[in-house]
Amino acid sequence: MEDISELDLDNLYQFHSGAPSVEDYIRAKDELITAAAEQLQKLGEDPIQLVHRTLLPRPAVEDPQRLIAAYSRALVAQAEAKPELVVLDGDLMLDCGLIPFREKFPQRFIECGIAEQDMVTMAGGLALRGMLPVVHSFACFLSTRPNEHFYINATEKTKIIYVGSLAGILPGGPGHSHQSVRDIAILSAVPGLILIEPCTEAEVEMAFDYSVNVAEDSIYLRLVSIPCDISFQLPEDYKLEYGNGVALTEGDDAVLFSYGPVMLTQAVKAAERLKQEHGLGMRVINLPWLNHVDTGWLRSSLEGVKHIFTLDDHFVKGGQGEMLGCVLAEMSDIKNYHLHRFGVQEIPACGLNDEVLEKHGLDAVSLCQSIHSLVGENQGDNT
Amino acid sequence: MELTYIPYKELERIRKLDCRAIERTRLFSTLARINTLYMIMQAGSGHIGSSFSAMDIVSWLYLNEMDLADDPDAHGDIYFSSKGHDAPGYYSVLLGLGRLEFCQLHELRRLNGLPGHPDVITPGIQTNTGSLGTGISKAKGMALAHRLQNKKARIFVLTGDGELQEGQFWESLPSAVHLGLNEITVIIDHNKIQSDTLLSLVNDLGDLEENYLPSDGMLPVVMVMIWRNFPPVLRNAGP
Repeated sequence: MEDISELDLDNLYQFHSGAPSVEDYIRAKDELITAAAEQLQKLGEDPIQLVHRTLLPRPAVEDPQRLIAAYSRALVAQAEAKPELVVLDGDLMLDCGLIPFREKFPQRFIECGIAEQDMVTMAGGLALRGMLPVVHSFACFLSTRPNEHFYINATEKTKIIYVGSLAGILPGGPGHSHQSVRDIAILSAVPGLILIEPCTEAEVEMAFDYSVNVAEDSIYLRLVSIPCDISFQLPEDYKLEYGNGVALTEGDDAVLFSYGPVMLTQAVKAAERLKQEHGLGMRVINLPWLNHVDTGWLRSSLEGVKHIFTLDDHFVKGGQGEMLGCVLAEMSDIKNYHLHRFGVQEIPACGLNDEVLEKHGLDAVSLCQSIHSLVGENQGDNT
Repeated sequence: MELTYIPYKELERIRKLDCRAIERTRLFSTLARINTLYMIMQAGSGHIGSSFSAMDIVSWLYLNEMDLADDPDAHGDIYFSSKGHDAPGYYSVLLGLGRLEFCQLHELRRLNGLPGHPDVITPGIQTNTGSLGTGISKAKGMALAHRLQNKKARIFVLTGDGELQEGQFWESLPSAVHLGLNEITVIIDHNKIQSDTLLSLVNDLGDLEENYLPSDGMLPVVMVMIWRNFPPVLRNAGP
């Protein structure tokens, strides 16, 4: 079963992570049971007693948004028109959606291996010599170990696009080494680096188009990897504009800023519950810009609302909510508001996705309860 | 569908079999693989390749090599995996040794269960790994602490081979030699595969021993060995 002799770049290794198929599981298990039985027989020992247990089927997400697949398509499309675009990968080409690009442009695909510092600095060299490097790994690895190398690249004022997938608190299974919930904090201050997190496949395409064709600065594109059953739709005429967001629900009792498919889904569901259970209207706003907001747009988005919430798929410290809070504090004409920031407050838990969101109070039910009680506490208090 | 696992009493029976160590270890390792597969199927995800390639090594160390205190938390010798992706395999060894509550077999990647990558919150886990290349550095810190506390414990660090692409691995070696930390034994699980494909297609290190780890060269004191087959010869290991 563990024959790797046929492995090549067109036939990638299937057993790094994930679960095997049912057929592979049965084959592997039977092979091992047979091996154990033969060994025991040789030793003249009793056969092994096995225990069987039924595996309950897992609910599948129907017609989910797959951001990595959308990114994969956008990358190939942009590369067609941009001969200077080159792709760097840190041994995660499958997970980062790079296979179609590599097949189409093998000469422009650079496999760097598990060496993020080396990769990010190589990108710096490519950019200095006129290429547009697009650098890939999981967000938790890309943003952290080569952080100094991001900064050095930034001081050279070249343009580089960094793409961190597996961003945010989900999936909850791999645990905290892989849950990227501090990348916004550690990259926000890199000079000339714009941080964007799209929430749908359509917004991925817009964000990458912006990164390649509009932005003069470097970009960090933060991508959720899990397939998401989203609870909202972007308006049909939605266009991505630097520092601006878009309302996904209407309401004048509260406004909540968030980004990305995971938290916007919980926020919109929370808004529906607030309306149904408490008659509260909450405006949920998708703000894909993580380290910048346009103050004019922010002012208009707050009209008539004094309860302001932010929801980060990230630690509260250093997240988008903190950035918004600081900007608000500096806007002298915005007064008499209450701000509360939701997000990850402690080392992220490992578990099923629903378990992890609930544990951190970031699921729709918990958010609805918290928002209801916070609005109630501050009602009529205009200080 | 139906999953299959090996109950604790059977693993206990195998551990006590009156036969050669290599046969006992091979059997234990085979059964631990069945339980690893079970855990990963139950969880819906987990690192199979890394767990399976490390299984013989971890089983051998725990059944034959390490000085283990009776209290699961009070180790004589210390083992941890630098790659950390092989956590399900390591858990199944600890479960088979009775060093974790056996009901945890069903709780891989669940809240309050066994995390996807190692965390010190789990009994028997010495350090948090999963981000690659850091293991030897962590072992050096432990070894220096032990020396200051007059403790004598060997530290076994398992690394992947894909992990050798990380710069920190190479940063960590010279000072281990310079400090003479011969209580550290580094074992490279040379399975020749990384996340996507073969090492040789990504960054071919060639013959690791020949090219990088000469026994009479760079690493005369700290033992770095490449796991090849049962049973390993742990030269130089020990304070």
